[in-house]
Amino acid sequence: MPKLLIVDDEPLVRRSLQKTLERKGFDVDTAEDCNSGLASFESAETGPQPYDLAILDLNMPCFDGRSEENAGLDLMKKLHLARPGLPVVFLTAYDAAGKAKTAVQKGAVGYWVKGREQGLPEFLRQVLESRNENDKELS
Amino acid sequence: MTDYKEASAERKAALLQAGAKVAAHITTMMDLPVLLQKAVDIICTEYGFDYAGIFLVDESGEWARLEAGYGDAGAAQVGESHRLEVGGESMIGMAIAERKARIALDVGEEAVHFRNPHLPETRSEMALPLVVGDGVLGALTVQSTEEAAFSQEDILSLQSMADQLAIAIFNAFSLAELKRTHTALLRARTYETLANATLQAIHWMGNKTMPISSTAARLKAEAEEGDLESKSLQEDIDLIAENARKINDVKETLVGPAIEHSLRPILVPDVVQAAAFHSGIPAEMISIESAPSTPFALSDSSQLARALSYLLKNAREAGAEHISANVTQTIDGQHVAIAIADDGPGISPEVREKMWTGFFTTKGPQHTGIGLTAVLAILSRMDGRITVDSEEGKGAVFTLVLPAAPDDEAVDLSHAPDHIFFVDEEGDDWANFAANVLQLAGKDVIVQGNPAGAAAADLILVDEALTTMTVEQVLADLKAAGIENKAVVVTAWLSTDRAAKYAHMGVRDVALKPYTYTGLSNFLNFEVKNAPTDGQV
Repeated sequence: MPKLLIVDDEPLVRRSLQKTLERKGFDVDTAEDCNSGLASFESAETGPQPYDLAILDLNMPCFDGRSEENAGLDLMKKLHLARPGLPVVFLTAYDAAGKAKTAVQKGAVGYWVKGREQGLPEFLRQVLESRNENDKELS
Repeated sequence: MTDYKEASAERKAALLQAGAKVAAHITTMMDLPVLLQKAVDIICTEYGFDYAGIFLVDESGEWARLEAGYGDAGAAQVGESHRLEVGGESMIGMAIAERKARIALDVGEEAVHFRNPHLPETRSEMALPLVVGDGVLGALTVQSTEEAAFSQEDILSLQSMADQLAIAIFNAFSLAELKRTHTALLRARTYETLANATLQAIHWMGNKTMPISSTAARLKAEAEEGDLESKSLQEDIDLIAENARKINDVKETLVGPAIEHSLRPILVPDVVQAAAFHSGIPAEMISIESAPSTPFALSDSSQLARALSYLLKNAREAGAEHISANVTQTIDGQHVAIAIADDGPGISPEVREKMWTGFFTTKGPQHTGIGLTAVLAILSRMDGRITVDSEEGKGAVFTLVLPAAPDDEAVDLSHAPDHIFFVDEEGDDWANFAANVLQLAGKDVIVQGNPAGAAAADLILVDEALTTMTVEQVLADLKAAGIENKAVVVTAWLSTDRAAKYAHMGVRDVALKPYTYTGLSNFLNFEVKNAPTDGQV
């Protein structure tokens, strides 16, 4: 079962998305900010099952604890330092093409706007499947 | 100064001539403060008086306040809010109270004269009431440093001038009052509209959220009692989902116009085409025409496309079979008009009254009725406006008016890549413009409806509104050829979801279409600067 990490400071969003994705067959953990998100990720990296993919909010408490509109980008950078190639998907309320392009150009595999997240589980499945196919080809 | 004591025919003629000049200058002035100051200045100039001042009765009716005075003395007194009691002992106060001119030939001896420290040299003064009909607006004071400067006979000609001045003041005052009243009415109407819209919004939200909360509470109770019945549960879930969808639709419709606007010169027909393309309007259903020499509009192409999309979808949903978009320059030459005409059922006068208000819809409970509210918000942020003309049974014409952009000048494009490939229809307005400009700059340009042969190009520009094949197909072909990082998807309507999707498909960039020489130059500069190096995707 693919293991996902959701990092979002909105409790109802976290819980609702967690339930939706669990129902779709994912194993889902959640964290509420950059620090706890990174801690969860690092802990899982040394455990039996690391995360296969991370879903990050963009605007949430950053590593210094202050709410920052691009905090998710900072967290993605640290996640990619820890494991290059980790698929990261942004799920944010920011409906902004510029932010979407920046996020993808910095390494995200997707940028979804809250309220238009229908189809996200299928997208995650596709990302993970194509990642698995690539891994097989490389091996 | 003329000797007013020896009034003669020549003197009368001179006074009449001066009066005529004063009247000619003041009767067309409608700005009250400007009129008052100009009047005192010209009275002194034309008649040769040393001082003139205009007092107007305040709202209490008890005081006459100096509103304008000649020279430094006048400015100083206005600055001090100089006022005189109506009916008091001053010449001005008495002239107003008695509606009768007063004259003092040696003011030092005149008991009723107010000894004014700003005008210590005054030796003669005339106070002329400013009378209109049954009312008196105030009084005009004219003063001279000569003793006995005015004759009783002068009163007649000067009062005639004062009467004309009074009418001019009355007209300007009436206009100012009319403007004040109009502004107050407009403000009241705006507040009323906002209050109505807020009430409508509260009512709408209440109707949409109540079923969610009540159904959720009932579901919880039923679950606790182990009484969940499958068919009822399905119905409840549908109910929650439908209401949540409508609330989300409102957010989606209103959040777009709230996004920051970035104004630039845009080719309006291209934006109309993009709006039709993204709204799913079939090409055969819409005709787009632009009059020759129509200037670019100063607008945000994504926001304008969003507004046009609402109008096009509205027309289609109303039952229109054909829509025409006609782009012209307005008669004043300062604006661009976009007339969107449809052959639908038209709009009744009652609906026209209410349709700009949020949450008003004639299309049934599936619709939220905020599309036109969003259009209004978009247009107002672009200094534009929108009007509608319609008769029932004869379709509707929505006319959007936007500021025209200043003319653009040709710029140096030598920095542009040498080989540029446009994946676009031949004959597309934007591709024609860009390709012609680049060809004139000596570049090798190909415009083609598919990407076959694009590998040799330095830069591949893919028009998102392409109709010969989908952008996804184009990008898949480019990816298969390993040249997707040479591609820039260009669009009139930049969307977050599509930008993320194309970026993930490996394109170099997703950008707004440049419509001017300067825009094209800046765009190419940026894309050349950000070109990937070998091996970088």
